[in-house]
Amino acid sequence: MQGKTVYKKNPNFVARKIDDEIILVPITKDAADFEAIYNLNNPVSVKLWELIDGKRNIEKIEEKVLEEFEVKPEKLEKNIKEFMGDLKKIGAIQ
Amino acid sequence: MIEMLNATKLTLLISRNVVHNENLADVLNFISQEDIDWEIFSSLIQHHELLPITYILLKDKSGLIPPSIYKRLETGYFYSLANNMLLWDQFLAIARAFNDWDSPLTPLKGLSFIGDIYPDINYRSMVDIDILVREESLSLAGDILVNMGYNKCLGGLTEAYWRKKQCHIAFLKQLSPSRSVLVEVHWDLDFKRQIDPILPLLWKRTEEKNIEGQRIRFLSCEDTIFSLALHKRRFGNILSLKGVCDLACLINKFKSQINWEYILKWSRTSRIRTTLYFSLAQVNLIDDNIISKAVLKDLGVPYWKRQAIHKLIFKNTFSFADINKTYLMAHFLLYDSIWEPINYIINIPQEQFAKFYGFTPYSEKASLLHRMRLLYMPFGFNSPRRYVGAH
Repeated sequence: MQGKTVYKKNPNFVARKIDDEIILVPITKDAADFEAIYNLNNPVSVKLWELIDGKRNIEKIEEKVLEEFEVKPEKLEKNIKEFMGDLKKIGAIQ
Repeated sequence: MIEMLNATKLTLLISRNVVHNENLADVLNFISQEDIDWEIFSSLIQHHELLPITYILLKDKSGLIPPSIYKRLETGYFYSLANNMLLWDQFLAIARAFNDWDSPLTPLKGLSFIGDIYPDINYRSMVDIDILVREESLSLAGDILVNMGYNKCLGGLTEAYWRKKQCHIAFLKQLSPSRSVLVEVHWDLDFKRQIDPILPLLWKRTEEKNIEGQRIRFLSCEDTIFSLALHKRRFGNILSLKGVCDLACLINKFKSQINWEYILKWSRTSRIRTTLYFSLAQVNLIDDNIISKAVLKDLGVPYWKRQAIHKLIFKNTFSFADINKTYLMAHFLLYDSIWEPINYIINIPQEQFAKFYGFTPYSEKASLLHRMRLLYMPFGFNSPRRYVGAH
C-alpha cells in the first residue's frame, strides 16, 4: 500500500537547498567520495523532498504536488514511486 | 614591475568578481581571448582556496575550459559544498546547545559570512568551525561540546599550555570512521600579550541575529576586520586570496557604515596597526578603490615597513617559490614591534609549528620536534611546506 506509506528523512543526511537544487550529503560516507553527494535538480523532486516530513503519507504528498504542478496523476504516482525508491536506496529516507 | 601570467590575471579577475559580482563578462572575455595555462590556474585557485566561487562562475561555460580542469573544479566544488553543509549543520546544533545554556557564542571567519557577505554556504570553502566565547564561559563551552560528542584535542599537551600560549582549544567529533568535524573554541582573537584584553568593547559591540531559527551573536563589522587581520598572525596561509576576498567583500559591503575612528583608535591602543595595514594592503591587490588612502596613512605604519609589506605581497602572492621564507618574513611584518614576532617564533605553539613545517598537527613527530624546536628550526627551515588548510 504505497499510498498510505509515511516516509521520514534520515537524520544521518544533511540537506540544503542551494539555488534551485536540493543537495543531500550522507554524514557517514567518506568525505572525499564525490559519488556520495546527491542533488535533486528538478522542481518536482525538490517539492517532493520538501514534503517528506514523517507525517504526510504518499497520497497527501501527491495531492500537494498536484495542487502546484500540472502533471497527470498516473504519471506523478509512477514518478513518486521511483523517486521514493531511489531515496530509500541511498538511505536518505526511512 | 612584475610581469603577470595570464593564469594569475584570471585568478585576480575572479577575486574581483567575488567582491563586485559584476565583472563576469570581463572574466569570460579574458578566457576567450587569452592563452591561459590551465594547470597553473588550477594550482593558483586551489592554493588561494577560490575553487568553489570559480566553479560557480564558470559552471555554465564548460566549453571555455579544458574538460579535465572543469571536472577538477566540479569535484572540488561538491567536496567543499558537502564539507560546508556538514560544518553548518554542526554549527547550528552547537548554537542551539549554547542557547539552551544561555551562553553566547559568536562565529568567526567563514561561518560568520554565510548569508551576509556570501549568498550561501557554497561560495567559500571552510575547514573547521571557529567560535568565540567569553573567557569565563570556556569551561561551560567545553562541557557543552563534550555532551554533544566532541572530544577535547590537546595534542599531547596540557590544557594549561593551551590556555597560556594559545587563544583557542580544539574539539573533535568523529561523525563516521572517515568524517570528523573540528571545532576551535576561541576566547580571544590573539594570543595573550602584554596588552590584555586587546579589544575590550568587542562583546558589547556584538549584534544578535536569528539565523535559521537560532539566536546567534555576530561581531561588529569593525571587530570582524580585526579578527581577520589578527588571524594572519597564526602562520596560516597569510597570502591566501580567500582571506583577502573576505575582507574586501566585508569592507565593500559596509563601507558607508564602518567606524574607521574605532578601528584606528583600537589598532593603536592594542598595537595591531601593522597587522591591519598588511591586511588592508592585500585588499588593494584586488581593488585599490576599496580602502581609502587616508585610512592607510592614518595607521601610521613606518615608511620602510609599508614598502616591505607591499613588496612582499606583490612579489609573493602568486609565487610558490621559497614559501617558508616568505611566511617567516611575512611574520615580521605583522607586528608593531620587532620583539613580538621573535618571542612568538621562539615560543611558537605546537600546532603552528606543525603547520609551518608540514607535519601532521598533534603527531608524535611534530610533538618531539616542537620540543627540540630551537635546534630543529635552522635545519628544518628549507624543508618543503604542505598546505594543511588547502584542498
